[in-house]
Amino acid sequence: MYGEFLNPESLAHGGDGLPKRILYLVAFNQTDVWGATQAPRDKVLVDIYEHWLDPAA
Amino acid sequence: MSDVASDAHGHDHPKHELSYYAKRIYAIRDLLLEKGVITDKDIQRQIEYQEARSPANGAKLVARAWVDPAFKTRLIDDPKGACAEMDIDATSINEFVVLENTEKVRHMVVCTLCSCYPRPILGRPPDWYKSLNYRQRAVNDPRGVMREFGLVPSDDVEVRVHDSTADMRYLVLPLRPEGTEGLGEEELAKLVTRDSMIGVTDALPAATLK
Repeated sequence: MYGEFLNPESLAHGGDGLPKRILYLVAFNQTDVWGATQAPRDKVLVDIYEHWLDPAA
Repeated sequence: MSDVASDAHGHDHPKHELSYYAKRIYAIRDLLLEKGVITDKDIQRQIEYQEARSPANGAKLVARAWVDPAFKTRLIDDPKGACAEMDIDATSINEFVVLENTEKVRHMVVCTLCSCYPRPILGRPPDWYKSLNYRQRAVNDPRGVMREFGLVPSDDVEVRVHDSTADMRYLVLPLRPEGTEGLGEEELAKLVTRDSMIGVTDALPAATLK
């Protein structure tokens, strides 16, 4: 978790970015995203705001 | 500015045929000047500011980190503070993250949405960084991209692709090349390329300096 940041969806439309949103650094295994052609240890890390995430189950 | 000619209203336009977007930006500039929103001086100051920001800033940080382990720790723990120590103005970056390459983990940076880039540290991003091709392939074929930059990490190395799409700006701290033990910061900085700080390749080998 990186911390709380102004909401970019609001900022992009001239808003004040409030309330602040929590920003996470989320790592995915490349093999899970793209399949077995990827090197086994490789990862892609994406900055994702909390309200863009859904519970996994 | 040799490729320009002064016109009647006192500033310069390029002589050659302009693209649509170039014509548009000159028209906007002229309007802003005419209406007194900005001045020629503002434009000049902004050009100077943009040009002062270059990969030389990043290279200075990396070279210092290579020779001074305590600085390296500070650069990773508090990148903006470390920049301030080196008189590099990183205050316009919201959050600045330094990613250290090791023998086992190497980092590569992309902005899949657009062109997020640590501009105060690296200047303006190269055109390829903004291309759709790089933005796609950095994520789904990072090793293929590295191969094109002359780098083939072995399979037991973990490649981490960082998608810089929010408030974070990433700088890769490349590994210090072998055979550079006796070199000072200034020489070392010459080995630190822009591309090595994006993470698509390594710093230049020591032999480059000879």
